[in-house]
Amino acid sequence: MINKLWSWFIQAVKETLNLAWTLVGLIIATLTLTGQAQQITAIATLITLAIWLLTIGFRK
Amino acid sequence: MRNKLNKLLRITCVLFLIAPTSIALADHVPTQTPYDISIACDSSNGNVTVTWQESDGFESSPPERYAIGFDVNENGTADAYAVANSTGWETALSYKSYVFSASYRESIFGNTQGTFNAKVRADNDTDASYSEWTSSVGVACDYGGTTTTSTTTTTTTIPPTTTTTTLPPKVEEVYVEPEPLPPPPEEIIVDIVVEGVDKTYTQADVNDGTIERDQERIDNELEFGCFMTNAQIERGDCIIIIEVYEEEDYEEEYDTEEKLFNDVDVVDEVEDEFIEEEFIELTEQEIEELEKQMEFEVKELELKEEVELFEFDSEEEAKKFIETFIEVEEFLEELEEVEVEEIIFEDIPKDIIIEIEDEIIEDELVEEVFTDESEAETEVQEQVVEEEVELTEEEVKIEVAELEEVIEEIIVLDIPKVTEEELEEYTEEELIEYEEAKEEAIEEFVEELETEEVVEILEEINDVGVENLAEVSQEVIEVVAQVVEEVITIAQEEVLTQEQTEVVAEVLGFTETEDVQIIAEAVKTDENVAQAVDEFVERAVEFAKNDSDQEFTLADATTEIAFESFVASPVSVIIDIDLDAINLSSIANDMTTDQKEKAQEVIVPTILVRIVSFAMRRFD
Repeated sequence: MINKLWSWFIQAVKETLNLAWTLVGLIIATLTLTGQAQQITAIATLITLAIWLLTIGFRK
Repeated sequence: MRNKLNKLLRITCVLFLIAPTSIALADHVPTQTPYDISIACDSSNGNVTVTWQESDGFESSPPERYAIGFDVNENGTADAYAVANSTGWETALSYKSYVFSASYRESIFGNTQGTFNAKVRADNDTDASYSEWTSSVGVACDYGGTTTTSTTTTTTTIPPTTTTTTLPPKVEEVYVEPEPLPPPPEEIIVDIVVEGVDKTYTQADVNDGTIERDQERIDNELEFGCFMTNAQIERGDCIIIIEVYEEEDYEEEYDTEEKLFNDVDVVDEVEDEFIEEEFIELTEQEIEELEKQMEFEVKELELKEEVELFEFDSEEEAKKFIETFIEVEEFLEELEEVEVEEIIFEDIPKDIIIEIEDEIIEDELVEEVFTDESEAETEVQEQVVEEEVELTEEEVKIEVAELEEVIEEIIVLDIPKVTEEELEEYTEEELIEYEEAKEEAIEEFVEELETEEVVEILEEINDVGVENLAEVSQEVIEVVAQVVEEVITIAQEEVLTQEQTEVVAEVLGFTETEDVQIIAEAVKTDENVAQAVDEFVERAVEFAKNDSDQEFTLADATTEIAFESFVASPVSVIIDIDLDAINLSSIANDMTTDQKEKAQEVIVPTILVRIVSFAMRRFD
């Protein structure tokens, strides 16, 4: 179980690094926005990233 | 016998069918005679009310007004006088009335005695259609005479005290016989030949202007060939053909004097003809319109002959095309007329400042002609050259001096003045204390300023330009920063005028004036925006010191502050989210146009890059 979690963690870090430029863009976008748009963009970015990382195995 | 009965029955049926038809047709006369006329006397005030019923509306020329003929006699006639009411036909079968007051009757007939007779007629002057008069109705309505009052004052002198006592006035009602008025004019009958028919007019026709209108009709028929009143002609009911002579044509056509100088009679005849035909004077505008119309028709003919490539879906499109063609031609002609002056520079200055003022080129409107009718719409394109005014150093100095002067005039701080030398001697604590006291004094003073004063300072800031504020003293910058913050607070509480909003928008670097109100609302909910408004001036001054060519707007300040707070606490972006306040339908309504544009510049490339990278991975 621990091994599985560890391997998933490694995979998640790799995937996040792959997404580094996209994430930078989205963070800057979030900071550029104000009000509701800023909050929605932040939530959407985080939720999408979480789903992306949780579905690594499924996508492969 | 049976056959005879059948025959009789058939004839009866036929008669029955014919009779209602004629009755029904009677309804469709041009103007129906009013129904159900009645007359009533109000004994309390002597008013006589004539009431009648309007028609059922089945008429080609409904009444525009009603004429009421009246007279006082025992014969039951009402031909001597006539008045007209002000309203025509309104509602089918509704009742209308006209009141003859006692005083009016007295002014006409000298008294209110005798039987007052009245009758009504429906008139449509536009169509020259008049109904028959109704039967006369009469009522005796004597209201007595006019009452007047007089006062009597008695003075009694009582000896020996020789005191004069004035008694209260004794009021007596005395009836004064009214002076007899001149006798009413006798009924006059006028015979005029109208359209070859001998027409007879009564006094009522004279009173209600029927004769005048008929005379106008006769005159207008002679002049324009339209049997209409002047009002109808002015309204444009008559199509008048105006013959316009071009000067050259006239010369060619009528310059017969040279050719026929020996024949004086002929020349006179021709000139007379011309004078007769020149019966309408056209205004300049009318002449211009006619010229345009002629030009349009000529161009239409030319284009029809020359251009066969174009196909238009409708006449309107073709018309638009020709109009545009003429406009372009006129524009090109104007261009040719422009003289280009050659300017020789002897000494070229090192710094050339080009000032381009706002210019709306209205003459260069471009009309788009759409082939699809559903999309056909005229779009007026305004070519606006944006203002790019760069102040020289001297001008900046002048503007800065003006700003400082205005601030000095308006802002009077309640703190002791400290020289720079004294400030240098201050300890750190004293310095902080002094700065806080000064900030508080500025805040308090600016809060009490009137909106007009705040806007006046902002106008001066605009004259200087936020980017040039580095030239002013620190104290002035602080005041300006406070004024900017204050104006947003004012915008939250009261509605700024359009001019004031434009001034505020210019200071904050907004292109849209609506953004001022958006920011005023955003300040209440968004800490970053509130801080940006607070620090905008200081940040703009700092930005200007870096010699950047770009403009610093409130959106830049907001982004800077958002980044700083993110760096300070990245988690706060997630934690501080208020999910209840999110409304997807108005997701970007709380953002200024400038902010939206800046966000768009970031988001769109990010998403595009992501899509491209996905696509690349697939193809790999």
